[in-house]
Amino acid sequence: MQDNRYPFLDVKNVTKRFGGLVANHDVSLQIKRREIRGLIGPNGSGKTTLINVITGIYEPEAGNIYFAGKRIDGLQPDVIASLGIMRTFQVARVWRDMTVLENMLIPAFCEGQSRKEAQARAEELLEFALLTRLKDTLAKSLSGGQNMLLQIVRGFMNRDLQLYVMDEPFAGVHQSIKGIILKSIKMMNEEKGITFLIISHEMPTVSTLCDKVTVLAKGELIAEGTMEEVANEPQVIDAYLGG
Amino acid sequence: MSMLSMENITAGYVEEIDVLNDVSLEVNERAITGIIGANGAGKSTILKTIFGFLRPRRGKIIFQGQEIQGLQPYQLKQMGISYMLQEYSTFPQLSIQDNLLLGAWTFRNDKKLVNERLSEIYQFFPVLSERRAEKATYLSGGYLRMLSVGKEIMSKPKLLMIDEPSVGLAPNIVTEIYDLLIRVAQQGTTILIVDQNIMKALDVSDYMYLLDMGQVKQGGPKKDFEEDIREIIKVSLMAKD
Repeated sequence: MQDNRYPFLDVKNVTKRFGGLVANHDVSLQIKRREIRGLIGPNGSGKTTLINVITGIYEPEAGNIYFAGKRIDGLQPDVIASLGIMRTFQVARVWRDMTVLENMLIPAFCEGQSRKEAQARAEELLEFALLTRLKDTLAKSLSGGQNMLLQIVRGFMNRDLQLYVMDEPFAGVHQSIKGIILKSIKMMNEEKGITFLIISHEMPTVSTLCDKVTVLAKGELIAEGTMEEVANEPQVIDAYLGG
Repeated sequence: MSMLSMENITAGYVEEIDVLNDVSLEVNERAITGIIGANGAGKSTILKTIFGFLRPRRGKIIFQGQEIQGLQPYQLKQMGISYMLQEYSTFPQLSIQDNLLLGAWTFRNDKKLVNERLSEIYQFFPVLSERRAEKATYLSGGYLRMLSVGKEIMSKPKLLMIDEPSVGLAPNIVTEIYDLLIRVAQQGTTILIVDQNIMKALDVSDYMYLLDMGQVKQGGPKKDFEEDIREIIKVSLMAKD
């Protein structure tokens, strides 16, 4: 059910510090339901910290986060996942000593899906990801790109998935796997209405995939808009120049 | 005159994924060459490939007229190539002096030469001389980077390759480190530097290369970059698949 009275994800004045380092300073950002948002910025600008705060890995020192109108800052990551927010990591986190299929089943079991239902869903997703022939292979035997793909499609096992936060999903993966990842994002967005927040350094891909991008630099939000709009902002150019 | 050239180098870490795709570049003698580009563009991979940590799939690397692709890092070190990693490459539990002496490992039996070099380094970096007996672990990030440079130039390399000299350092220290690199270059060492800090790289370099997704997008003398560096960044941000 669509309710547009409030932003789907509403990050309000979030500050996150690590000792003397301010990784996020007073960051506010709103994402609409069904949006595919890009999150860009030079190295060390606070992108991963921000998604760690959104997904409950860190608690912010200041500010609040609302998801579909419900306050989620300070909740544990598993509680946030159960609300329909999944995430991926820059270096794929899979259970290395489990098979591809077993990896897929874990999120389904966590939310109490039956074995039959979970297996059917997992097999359908593996088919889509062209991973069927590897379903009984241990994850540790997969390539980095295949693990990234597994990590991504595993997130789609969450039946209640509404917001998918991805950290560099295209980094270091083969073009063919990147194609599958892109296809899965577009399909899940169009058919299931899933909202995405994607960190990536691959500007051409972000430019084609995302409706809007948010730019962070030195922990602060410095620009927002289409890629063309932000590329014309002098402070964005300054941020990428380093200085 | 070219000291090192990469000719059509293709290289990667895992099968079927080329991190460098047909990269050609020149490093001119007694100059500083800077490689800039976004994260994941392949900048560090260029240095790792030159230093033999990664064997190229295709292409040649020529150093002073000799093909060097496929040689081991220790052989390259003996030929006069030094490589300073992005991570701290000093030994925290050893003294500053012992760290410097490790930089002289390849000629450790020639005590006279080792001592000569050591006193040159101490003249060059008086602060390291004052603190020579202290363990490296007590040094700040900036001094550690200085010690790393000192360790690498103990062997008087012909070519010093440096990966991200400014990463993790406070702005005033960053300036000191770049000044130091200029002084090293003035002493006759050729430098190849990889940097995300485009403005700093532009300040110190004589020649620049812009790398994007494993390919050289632009290369040439610094002035070609200086004139339209903002436009270069804008174009790279707006690139389409």
